[in-house]
Amino acid sequence: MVEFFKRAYAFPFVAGTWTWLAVSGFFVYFFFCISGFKESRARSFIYFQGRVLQTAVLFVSAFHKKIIKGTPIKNPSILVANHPSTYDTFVFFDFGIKNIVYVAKNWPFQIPFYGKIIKEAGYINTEGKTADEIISQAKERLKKGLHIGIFPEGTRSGTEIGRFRSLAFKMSIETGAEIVPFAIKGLGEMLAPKQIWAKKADIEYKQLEKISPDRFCMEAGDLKMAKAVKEIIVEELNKGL
Amino acid sequence: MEKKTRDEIVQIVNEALIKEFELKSEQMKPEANFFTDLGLDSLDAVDMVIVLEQAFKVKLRTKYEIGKIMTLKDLYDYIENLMSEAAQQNG
Repeated sequence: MVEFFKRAYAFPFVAGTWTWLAVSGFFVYFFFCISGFKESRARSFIYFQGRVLQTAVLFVSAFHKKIIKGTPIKNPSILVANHPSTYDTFVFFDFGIKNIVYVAKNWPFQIPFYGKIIKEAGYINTEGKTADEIISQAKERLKKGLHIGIFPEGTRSGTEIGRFRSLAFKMSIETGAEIVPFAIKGLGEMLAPKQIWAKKADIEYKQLEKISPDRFCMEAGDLKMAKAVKEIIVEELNKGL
Repeated sequence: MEKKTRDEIVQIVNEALIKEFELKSEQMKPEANFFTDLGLDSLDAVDMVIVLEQAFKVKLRTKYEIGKIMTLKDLYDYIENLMSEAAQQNG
């Protein structure tokens, strides 16, 4: 019974989230059509939209939400995190990081209105591209002073962390940009993949120490770096909340 | 490149992929499709090339369009052909 009320309590806010994404995207899309799409303006909108979502939904869906910031990120870097839930899409915004573009699969780009906005904001669609093409685009974004956000698992993993693909780490080695790992705790319990009803849970986001690609410039260094970074995140997750 | 039998190739490929992609041995059937049965995608293919290059000590990426390999059997065949070509070249 308690479980039912917890779920029933969260549901309207989950529904509200998607309504918010769709409605705000709809109106802003037409504003951009009239005023012209500008990358920085599109990113500001996504940042604002993400912050509202994080604040509103997690305020009601989380018992406690804790954000542990680390050393300020000065240089354009590659930000990676485990990917337990849809809600972690906006996790980096909670650290006040605005100048970021994500590397994502095709589906977010297919969301009406919103997809067009993230494309104009400079988000990188991996669909049909080779790793070299994706890295080439990422290099351009890094040169502009933007951070690159990637979830190396590639898909939402729930409470079990999945395999880390090498793309983010190959990107780091080839561009020289540092990797900044983040550990996301609790979101897998709150809204796991394929779960419609949100549960209440404790949430913690933690920025970990940055990692230089220099010590991975070797044969299959990208795979070794992927494993090393996953170990660091897993170690943090195992500490619990 | 050291010549290997078909069974040795199958064993090396399976062991390498199970270890790297956290697959289960029962999934490693010759007809298994990388995308629909093993849950891999185009970005995993990049990692697969690196893993196999390490396992067989040979460069793969410039010699074959990796996108044409759809099943484990395709991969075994490709490596076997590569080994045969190398053996012929070596005399």
